[in-house]
Amino acid sequence: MIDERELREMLERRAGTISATPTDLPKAIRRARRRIALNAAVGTLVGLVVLAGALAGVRIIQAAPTPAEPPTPAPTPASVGALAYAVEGDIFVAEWDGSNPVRIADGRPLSDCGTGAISGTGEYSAEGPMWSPNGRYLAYRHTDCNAPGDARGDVVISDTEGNVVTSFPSDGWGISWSPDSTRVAVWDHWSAVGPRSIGIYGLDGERQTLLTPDVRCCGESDPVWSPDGRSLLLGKFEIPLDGSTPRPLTWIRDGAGWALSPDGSRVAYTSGKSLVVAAADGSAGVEVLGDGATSGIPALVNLVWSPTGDRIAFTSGNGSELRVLDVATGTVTLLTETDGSDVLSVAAGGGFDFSPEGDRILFSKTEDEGGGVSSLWSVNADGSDLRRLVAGTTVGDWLSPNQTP
Amino acid sequence: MMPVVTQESSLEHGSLGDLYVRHAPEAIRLAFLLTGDRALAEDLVQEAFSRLVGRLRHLRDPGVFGAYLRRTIVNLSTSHFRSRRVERAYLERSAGASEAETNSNEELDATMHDVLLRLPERQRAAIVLRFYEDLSDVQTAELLRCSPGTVRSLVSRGMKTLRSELEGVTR
Repeated sequence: MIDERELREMLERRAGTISATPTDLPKAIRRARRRIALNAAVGTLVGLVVLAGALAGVRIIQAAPTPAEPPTPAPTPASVGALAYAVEGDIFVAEWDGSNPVRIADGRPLSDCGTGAISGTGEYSAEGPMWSPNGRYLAYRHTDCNAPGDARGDVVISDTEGNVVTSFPSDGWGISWSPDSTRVAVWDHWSAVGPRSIGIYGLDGERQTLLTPDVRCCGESDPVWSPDGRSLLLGKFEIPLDGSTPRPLTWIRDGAGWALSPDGSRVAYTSGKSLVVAAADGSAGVEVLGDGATSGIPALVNLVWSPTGDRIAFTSGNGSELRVLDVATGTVTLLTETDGSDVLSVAAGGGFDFSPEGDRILFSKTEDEGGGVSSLWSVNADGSDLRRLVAGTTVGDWLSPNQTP
Repeated sequence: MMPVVTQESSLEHGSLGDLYVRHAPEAIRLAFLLTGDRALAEDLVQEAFSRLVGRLRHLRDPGVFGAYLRRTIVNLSTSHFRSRRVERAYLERSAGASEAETNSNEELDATMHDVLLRLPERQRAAIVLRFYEDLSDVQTAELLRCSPGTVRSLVSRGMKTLRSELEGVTR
């Protein structure tokens, strides 16, 4: 029976059958250059034609979404600070520190799904729970275990006890709740090179809006609601939901991290190896943390603001360090670090967060350079009381109340 | 294997030729494992270069060029194989090629590769990235735009199929 070692050796041998250099290097390069020139020329020619669409990057098929009426009676909200997480296909709700966990969705490990190991109908795997800002609902990804391996998944919205409110198909990873907790935005269909669409769904499961971003506009980004709930932030664009022209976020650089402050008035973003805080429109930027070469803090990513907007937590050193910055003073505190074999990471859609009071930070750690066991951890914002909360997951979400109306 | 992070200190002053010489061989190997077709692999790599090089000036951290290239190749090969017509044509060619193999180890490798190429695109990509590129679950998840758990699932499903299809086949 084939094992991983044999597979690795086969891949090495097959790759080795390909000569180390392209067959006709100069010609190949010339062809690539010509392609680039052709792309540039075509881009210029069609630029005017697609300017509106390309700049906007988005066409709104159904604008002006109507918020759905929330279910009545509204579910009872969970306690502020409650931790939602998924392990082995189950969804749990627990105290902030992982104690008193209650399983609200009884799924199966994702690795068992689609393998024939599960024969019963209705079996599923759940992951990535995200609290609605009002704490009444959880949205999570749901995979039908009897579906083919590459089948699309669903998004399920449940109450805090696991009763399913609605579900709808989705191709996305990150699920973003609107500030008023009445809608979620998620990739409806995602392709690296082809058509893409983002759906905005109400609590009734109906798709209210379909956005079709241009493939060039937004890379790998997941949609994020603006604090006022009137637009989505996607890649390098802010996309108003009223159908008006999207606004390019000129301060976002390729591969850079950024985060809006809880009240939406400021943005923090990386620029090269610096951290800049600016007004929400990108103006009046101030470098609050210098280049890694001078500050000694390399490769900072994964920015997250404290609820009061006075601190920014981030990881650095390729995920080996967790630090917090005092925005006013520029003081940086190292909260925890690994020996390099473990990776502190931020999983899209949760896994890295301040507590509602701003006194603790939730993060994930994955052993063996990112390939081993993952777990959720917590540390006080001053670096004390480091503790593991839950083993077996990289994504958790502490329920925080709305920071904006 | 394509380095996860490569140092491109001379990138700003380098040329497309330099980049191509440095990255193309490993990129072609990766594309070949994903597609099974040498000529197609070269085409995909050139297409990937043409898409990426125009963005280099905007790449603040040029050290990530290799990662960008790898991601683009995976995406292009996945997109390419969604054309069933091309896939059928390839499988017909690969069947012919397999018959021409004479060495038993080469035959077995070719058989394993053929089974690998018949896996769903994401399972195939997950296996190649994990076991050839030696990426971690987290790194593979970032490339495939899914969770690490999904990567483990894709690999698990793919390995199960490989074992099933290759049952009884030994060296």
